[in-house]
Amino acid sequence: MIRGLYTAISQLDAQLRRQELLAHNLANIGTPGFKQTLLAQAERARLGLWRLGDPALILPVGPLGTGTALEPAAIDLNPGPLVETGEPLDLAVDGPGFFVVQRPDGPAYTRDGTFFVDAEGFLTTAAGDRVLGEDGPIRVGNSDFSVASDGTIFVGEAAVGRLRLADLSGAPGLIRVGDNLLRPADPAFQPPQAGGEVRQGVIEESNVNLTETVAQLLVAMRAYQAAQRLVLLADSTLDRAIQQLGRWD
Amino acid sequence: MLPVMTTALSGALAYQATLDEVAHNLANLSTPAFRPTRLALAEAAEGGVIPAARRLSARPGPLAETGAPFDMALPGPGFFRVRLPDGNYAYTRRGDFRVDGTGRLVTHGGLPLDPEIRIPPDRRVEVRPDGTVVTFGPDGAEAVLGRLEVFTFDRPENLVPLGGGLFREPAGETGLTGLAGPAQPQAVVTGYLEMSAVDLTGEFARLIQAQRAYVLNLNIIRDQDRLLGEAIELARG
Repeated sequence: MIRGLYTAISQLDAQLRRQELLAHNLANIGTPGFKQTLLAQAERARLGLWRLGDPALILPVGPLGTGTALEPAAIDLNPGPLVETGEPLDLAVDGPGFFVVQRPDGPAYTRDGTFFVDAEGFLTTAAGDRVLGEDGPIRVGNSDFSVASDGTIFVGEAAVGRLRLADLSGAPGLIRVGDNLLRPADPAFQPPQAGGEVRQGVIEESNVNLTETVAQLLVAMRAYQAAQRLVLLADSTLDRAIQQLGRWD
Repeated sequence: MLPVMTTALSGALAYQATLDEVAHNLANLSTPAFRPTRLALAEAAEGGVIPAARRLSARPGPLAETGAPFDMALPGPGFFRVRLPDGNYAYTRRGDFRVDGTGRLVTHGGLPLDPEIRIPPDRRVEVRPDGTVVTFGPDGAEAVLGRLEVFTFDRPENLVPLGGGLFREPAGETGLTGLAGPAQPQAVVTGYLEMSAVDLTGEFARLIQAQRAYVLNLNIIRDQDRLLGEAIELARG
């Protein structure tokens, strides 16, 4: 009975975490270049029960479930829809590549091409991190620029750099840095050069699927409620065991 | 359950800010020379979303013919300069000028252009394409009253909006000083106004998306509240 309590609690934990991750996806439904978290849940390892005692009679009794847990969250790298904005500072990658930006603690990767130009003329993200080209940060200076589909940035007729595009699909795991940035979980992983066509005046929207995510959230809430009832049920069974079975007049 | 609520709250706040911005853009659909802004949202590391930065559109609005003698549009990327009552400069692309009681050429809000141009009463006045304002005497003699100067910025999208179509230079940023350009043959188009650059369809699409996302995040807060209430009820037994 106590075991049933813990099994129900494992489901409460899993469904709570699931709700948190789904709420994070939904809060970022309007964040350009956002990559949603994918959720997978699995049964915890089952235990085998064996009857002990007489060494000649050690027999299996059967399996024993120990509940459930969320698997480590994966990040869905599928592209979001590309939307035309006509703004020269909006860039998007049509293909698998990620833009590379310079953070104080090393490079980070994003699909959010809502760029700005800082006071020194460097191309930056909304958070102010500089966008890296193949030869370091890209300086567009004070003039209008155009971007060729291979990522080369032209100011007038002169090429000032070529956007670095990284392929994260081979990374063993990705972590969220914030500011729409991702980074491989293993710092030693060097993402290879990625293909992809860079488009100017286009932005990539969030890849969160609204209907599916809302449905998942509703299911998670109901599963949470059901697990709550299970806790109560286990509790009242225990109560009965203590109050009624344990009483003798 | 509480992290879900704070995450959903961050979403509701971010989409509220987006809605406010879209409403402001749409309200200025017919404001001459208005440039819409766009709020860039960013994922928050601790969960949820935050408004990261705001960017002014770099696209100018279309020019429309009005025929009014003091309506002026700038075909290039420059700005007119006006002097604020506190003595500071502000910049605008809105060119529906008029003559005030003292004869100065002023903006629709009554701010004098800088350099100042005085229009003599009861005289025919003409604004040449290079910005030179000339008047004609009774005998047809031509007299130059001044020149409308056009100021250009390296990064106009970084200008700080003051409202009323006015902008100021951001403090402490280099490369953002307004520079009076050399006289250009096609600096000013008279009898035309730059219309609002708001893209109606695009803003409506954003409005609907932001509204849906806002309601969605609010619903999550409400549902979580209900779940929390039920949990408390259950625990009471």
